[in-house]
Amino acid sequence: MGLVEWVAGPWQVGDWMWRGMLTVHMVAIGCAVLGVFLYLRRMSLLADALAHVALPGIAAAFLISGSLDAPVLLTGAVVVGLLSALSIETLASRPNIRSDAAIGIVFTSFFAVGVILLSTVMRDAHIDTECLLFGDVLGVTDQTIWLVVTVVPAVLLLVVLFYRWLAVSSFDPRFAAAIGIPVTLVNYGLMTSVTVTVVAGFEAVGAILVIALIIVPGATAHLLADRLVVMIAIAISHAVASCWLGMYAAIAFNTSAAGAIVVVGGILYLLAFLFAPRHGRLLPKSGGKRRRSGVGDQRAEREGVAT
Amino acid sequence: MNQPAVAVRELRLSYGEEVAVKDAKFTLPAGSLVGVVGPNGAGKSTLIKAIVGAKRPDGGEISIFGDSAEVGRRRMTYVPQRGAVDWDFPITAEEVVRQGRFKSMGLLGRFKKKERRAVEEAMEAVDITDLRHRQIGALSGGQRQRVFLARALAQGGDLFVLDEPFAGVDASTESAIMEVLRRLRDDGKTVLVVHHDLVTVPEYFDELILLNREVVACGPTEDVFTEENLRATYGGRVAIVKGEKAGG
Amino acid sequence: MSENIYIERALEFLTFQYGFVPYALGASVLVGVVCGLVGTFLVLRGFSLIGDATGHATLPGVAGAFLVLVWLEGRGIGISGELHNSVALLVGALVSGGLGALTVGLFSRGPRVRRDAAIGIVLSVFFGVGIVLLTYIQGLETGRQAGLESFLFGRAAGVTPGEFWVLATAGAALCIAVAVFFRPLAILTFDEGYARAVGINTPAMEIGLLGALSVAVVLSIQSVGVILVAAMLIIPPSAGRFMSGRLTGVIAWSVGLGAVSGFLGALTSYVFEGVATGPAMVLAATAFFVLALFFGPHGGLLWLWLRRQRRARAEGGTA
Repeated sequence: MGLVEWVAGPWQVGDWMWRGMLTVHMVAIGCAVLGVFLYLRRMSLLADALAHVALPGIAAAFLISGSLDAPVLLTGAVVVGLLSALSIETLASRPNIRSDAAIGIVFTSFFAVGVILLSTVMRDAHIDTECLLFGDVLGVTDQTIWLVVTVVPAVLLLVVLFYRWLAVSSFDPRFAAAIGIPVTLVNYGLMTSVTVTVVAGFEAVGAILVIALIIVPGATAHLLADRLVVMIAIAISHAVASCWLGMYAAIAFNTSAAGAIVVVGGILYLLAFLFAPRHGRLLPKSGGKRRRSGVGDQRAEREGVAT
Repeated sequence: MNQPAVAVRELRLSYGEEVAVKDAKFTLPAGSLVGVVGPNGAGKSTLIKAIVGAKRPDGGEISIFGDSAEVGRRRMTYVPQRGAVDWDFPITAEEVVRQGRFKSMGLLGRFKKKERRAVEEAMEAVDITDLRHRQIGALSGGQRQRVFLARALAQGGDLFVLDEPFAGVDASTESAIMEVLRRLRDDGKTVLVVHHDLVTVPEYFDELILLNREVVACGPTEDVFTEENLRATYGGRVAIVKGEKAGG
Repeated sequence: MSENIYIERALEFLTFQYGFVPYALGASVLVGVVCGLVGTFLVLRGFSLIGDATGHATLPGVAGAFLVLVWLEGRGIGISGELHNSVALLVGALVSGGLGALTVGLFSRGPRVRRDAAIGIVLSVFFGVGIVLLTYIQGLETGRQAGLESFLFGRAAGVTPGEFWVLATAGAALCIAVAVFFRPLAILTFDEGYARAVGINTPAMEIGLLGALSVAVVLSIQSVGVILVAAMLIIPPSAGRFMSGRLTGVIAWSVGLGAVSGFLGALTSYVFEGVATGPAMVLAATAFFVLALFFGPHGGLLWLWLRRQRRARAEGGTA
């Protein structure tokens, strides 16, 4: 009786519950699916970079056009996002800059520009910096809802259509190139999709927490899955579970919904890290063959983001 | 033999300042089993990358089956060095082999009977049928190499390029792989293999390329595999002692 | 006309017209020094972005310490004095930042966990915890939460004399510790396998380095903020790599450029209204990095280009 009330309660208060739930689910599922591929390509930290860089992208778009319409801001974020990805790649091609340092240099610089723009020339514009950073799940606008329900299904459709290209180029880029898959195009397509999804989800979950929605589901699923399809399914389940549990936790403790969703996601990851059937750290290893960690693993590790 | 399988002229490859291969020139007759041999850092992998299109030449020309490299590559199948692959990737052995069919099926083509048969045959040829549901990282080094060879067989083609297929592989896998490569050659395919072990060279290959930043010698193995040529390739300290391992 | 105002303000700042200026300046320069020092080891090890994770991971510590203070106050055991309060917040930051750094170090070993993902997970999940706590604090009926926001982007002007001396002492201790352990750290950075072979206790050194990182981050967040502290750990050392081919040289350049960036950041944020110290400092460092990228004697683009031109000319001559 009490449980039913507790579960049904928030839905009866008003619109904000289903609006928030819808938005955050869409964003989380889109992020989870894209995140699986980023994770497998060791590009997780590019998500970090793209999410931070979207902020100056939005600021620049507003400065140039004077408009706060979603398509304008989205375009700005995508352009600046690709620009930053390009600069990361160029920098990382210098022999004395590693790719992780290149990421760190580029996105922090871009982000600093964004913060300064928002706090000086754009101080009078109606952009809430805190909202852009931390999100406001329960206060999403109609514009955000529309943006999310168009962008996320479109991105998912693209993933389904190009699934083979994405899968093969993530697993074995050289083979992919050899059988004629446009590896670079796939790479930039993926980055564009990430940027678009991130910007769509900005208002709901914010620039920094969206990073968790991208990385954590994929990382959790990798501890549990031996096949890519299964991994994607688990990542989506992780996203949905985090959204539900996080939303209710946020209402129960009267705190940030985006933050709570991320914290729940982190706890789920920790559980998988400790108790996953074959790769968990706390359970005895089953009789399967020990995997060899060859030089290749370490080299791939060091190469980090292979953009 | 009509058209050569691969013809390379004045090929120059470099990484920034550093020249990896210069003025490479050779032709590979179609229907032969060819080895590429040379010391570490001789540019073997770089040369292979240029042939398969993963590295842009700084100069020179590559033609495959008499066509330009881009056209000729459609008839080529490439087995990369296994180091480039991520063993943690959630993929089973069978799924890797199925990737071999993607080129001919395109982006959205469905697996039909023909595709499934090609995958089955490829797995049988290298004897991995009972490993099909294992995750790739749960296989041994030799089994992994068999999986990648099966992928190449499933793909088919007239020119097979293998980059160090015997690295980190047990003896039984090595002979199984050689068996498959010989069968391919007997079917009229051309097989190009980057190889490390000088001892097995005369036994394995019909044709040989000796490489150390430039092509030292190229031609039928019995003509090329001489002490003089090897000394020129490896810098004078290699003696060919029968039955003992030279090279690295 | 308006330019005059800026010049006037700059003069005001440089002549220490107001009492807080020397401390704001000192705290900002300190950021450059400690981050430049510790960051060099991380960048050379290819572990740059762990600083980002550590920076973000300090947020829950700051918020948690604040909650503890409020709770203690509610029970009548309030800690007296501003200074004690801010030291308590910094200790909280150190605990959670250190925990974050160690978590990355621990998680990134072993199969099915990727180091880059571990960094991203710690960064975002810890930050999420911080946001949860901050929102909770905003809902509380205490009038004291104002200071917490300045931790996001940094406010050097808010550093009090007492706080400055705490930061400076800790910073000096950190520099001495790094100097004492310089040799093993250098070997570890260059070649971990060799370090183990010559009997260096690599896990301990590793943890020590992560500890040094956490201290450097905590000393910096008041001035540069938790989100951008990574930049000060990555950008000056990266610039240093173009300036010198030796480890000590890279460190010297990195510390020097970091300190000057800190100075310029503090100055800029005083002169231009609304510009926070952190972003200003980062952009100064970025400007130095770009200069080093083009004109640095070790791999600078200008020299590479000149050499290529000369070689092309030489080849053209012989052909």
